[in-house]
Amino acid sequence: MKLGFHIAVRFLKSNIGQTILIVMGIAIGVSVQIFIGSLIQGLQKSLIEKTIGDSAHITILPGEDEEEIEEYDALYKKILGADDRIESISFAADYPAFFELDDESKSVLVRGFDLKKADKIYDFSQRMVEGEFPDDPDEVMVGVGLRDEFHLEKGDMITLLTNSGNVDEFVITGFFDLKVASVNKTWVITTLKVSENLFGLDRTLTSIEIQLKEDHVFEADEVSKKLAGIIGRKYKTEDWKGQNEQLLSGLQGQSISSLMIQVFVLVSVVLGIASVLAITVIQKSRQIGILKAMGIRNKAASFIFISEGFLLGILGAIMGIGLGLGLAYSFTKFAVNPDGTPVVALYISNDFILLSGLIAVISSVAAALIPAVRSSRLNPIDIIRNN
Amino acid sequence: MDERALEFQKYFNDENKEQAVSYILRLLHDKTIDIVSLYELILAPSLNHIMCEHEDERICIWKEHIKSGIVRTIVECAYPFVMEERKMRGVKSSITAVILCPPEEYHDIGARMAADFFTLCGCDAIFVGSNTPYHDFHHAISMIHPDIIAISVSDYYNLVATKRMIEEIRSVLTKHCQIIVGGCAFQRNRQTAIKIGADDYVESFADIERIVRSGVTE
Amino acid sequence: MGTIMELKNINKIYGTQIQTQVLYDINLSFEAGSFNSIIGQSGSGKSTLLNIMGTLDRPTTGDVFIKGVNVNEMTDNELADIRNLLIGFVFQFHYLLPEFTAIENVLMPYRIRNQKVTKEVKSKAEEYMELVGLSQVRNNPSSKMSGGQQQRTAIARALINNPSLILADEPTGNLDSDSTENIYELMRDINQKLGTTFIIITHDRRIAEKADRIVEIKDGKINLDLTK
Repeated sequence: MKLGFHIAVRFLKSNIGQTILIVMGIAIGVSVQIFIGSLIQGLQKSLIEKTIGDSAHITILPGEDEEEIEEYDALYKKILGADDRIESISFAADYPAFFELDDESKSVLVRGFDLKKADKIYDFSQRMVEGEFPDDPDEVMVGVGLRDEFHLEKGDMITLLTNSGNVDEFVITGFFDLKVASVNKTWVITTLKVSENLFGLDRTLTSIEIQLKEDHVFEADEVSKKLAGIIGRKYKTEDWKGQNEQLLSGLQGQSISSLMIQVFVLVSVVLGIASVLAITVIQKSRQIGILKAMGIRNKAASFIFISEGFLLGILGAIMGIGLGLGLAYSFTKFAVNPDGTPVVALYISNDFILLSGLIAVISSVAAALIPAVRSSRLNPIDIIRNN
Repeated sequence: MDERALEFQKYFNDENKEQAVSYILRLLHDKTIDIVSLYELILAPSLNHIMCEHEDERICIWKEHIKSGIVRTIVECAYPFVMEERKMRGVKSSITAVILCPPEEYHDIGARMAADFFTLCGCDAIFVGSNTPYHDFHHAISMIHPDIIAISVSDYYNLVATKRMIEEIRSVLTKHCQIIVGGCAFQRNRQTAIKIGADDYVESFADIERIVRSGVTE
Repeated sequence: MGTIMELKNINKIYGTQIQTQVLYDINLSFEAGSFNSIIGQSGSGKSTLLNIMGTLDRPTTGDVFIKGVNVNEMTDNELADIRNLLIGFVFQFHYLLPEFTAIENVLMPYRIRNQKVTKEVKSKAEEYMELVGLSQVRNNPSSKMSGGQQQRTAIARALINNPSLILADEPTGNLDSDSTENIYELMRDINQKLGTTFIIITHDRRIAEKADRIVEIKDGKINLDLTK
């Protein structure tokens, strides 16, 4: 084994030009794989993030014949222990209202949250551009869209008018930016209590929003079904997947095409290595013949080429990973939006990189099998006789 | 050992050519030795048992050359005595004997001595010499029509060439001819003579005399 | 000392469509410790014979016995072991591995069977390099050595596993006369010191005439088998 490896190293060194060429071939294959993989994954991540990152994965709504969610404490307890894929649960009491300032008015959605819980879903604390969370019974915060439309400032007084005719005045404590224009323009966020008071409710909710743990985002439909079974017919559940079918099929198509590109790159790399190694066997057939005349066993002779494949794979993978990361880095540096953020934020996953490297090594070894078998079958007499 | 041989060995081992040659010639003159005894008892054993204590083989080869030079001179000088002795013996034979060495064989003193023995037996002895090329000899055979061809081989490697030579000679012979062999190459393994296709192996004057006689009766 | 190599009724036919018989009913045996030469014109089948003796080639019919064991009944791995441990090859075109240094080439047959090169073996290799007069250039790449040096390296390589038999095919085929003489002396020395059997194909009479035995092959048959 050790000798086979040693001979392989010498063989590779003796044809250094050829070795570099193969390693480059593998490296380019690996780097393309890593780059495309990271790009597509990054693209999908950011798309999904934009779609669902700041919204609920599963929403529990009142059932067909119900108006509102009542007795939500008991329900909360039920949901809490229902599935360990659940990351956080937030309550919402949402009602439409009219926003009035001076002579102008605008239809808005007043969202009453348990802000501590809602923060886990909407990440308000990161999204606040100015001010702080509303706390007192007469405080609200609005989106930057609304701020810009009405030239609002922190501490401004606004008036909200409900459908049932209730009118109340509120102080603006801050502005948030959830990166979605319609949300920024129409949401008025306050505490559960304020919402209840304003709309004359008594401990009822319009929805319960659930965030899943990051790794289980795509199991939303499953969890949703499970929850529906637990909470019964008084409520209904919706999940983001059901509401974004088109996006999902688009993403799936993208994943498949990305995978196909990767597979074809891999196939061409394997074919490249196999053909070069096949030539190597012919180049080195004299040496193999000599070794066989000296009594090397067939298996050991094959092992030389398996080692070559392995070494080329390792070198190619390392170079390829370096190259791929370099490519990804320069892509994020040079392909940027006017504000300096990358057009597509790449998703660099250690697991994916390791997997790409591993696949390169395994396929290099696999590509070396053909030459290995050929060298095992090589008869020393053909070399000795033909010189 | 013969007294005369011991005396000769003394000069021979000292590479004293002058003394060695004059000693032998004196013996021949005084008729204290005949040709056959000279060759068989003195010269041949001396040549066959050249001692060399020197470590360097190249010096040994060089000494061997000097010593064979001494023997060669003696054999050449002995020719008048050979003729004289044949006259005294009074035997006459119609046999023509050709004596030669195979290609690449340069040790011809044995062949030279054998030629003298054939002369003593009354034959017409033709000494061709060392390193006889195959093809030249083919033509000679058709001219000479020998009754006996004697091939002397010293180096056993030359037996390979001798075998080929014998095959080729046989292929051009038109009349009956005995092919006989002799020399150091056969010393350890006389069977080889038959192996390489010779009719007989000779190692002494008696052997040659026997063959010539049987040739006469035929 | 007994017989080390015995060939019984060896026939070798090449080709399937047009058959050419190269060897005809060869029967030969070699004594252990002897120094033998095989001569014959090119195309006479002598190299084929040597390759069959070395288990590199298989006879079409007939049996090869090495130390009394029939080669026909051995597996590929057993044959590899025989070639590694029992036989040392020296070819006309020396066949060193150009990727390795001289001494690495010498150690190669040992490394084929052993994981680690021990100090003893290393010093033995150096001793053999000394024996063949190459201790000065032992660390040179084998491709950078002269023909004579490469051939002497090949001889040292053939010796490293202390084989009982050395098969040499024109070991001095492309060497000048001084190198030829040196290589002959070397082989003879090894033959006498270690009792290694030598079977040497040669065109060179300087080697053949000094062998204990000369076997002449002609047209695939033994034409002459001479013992000194």
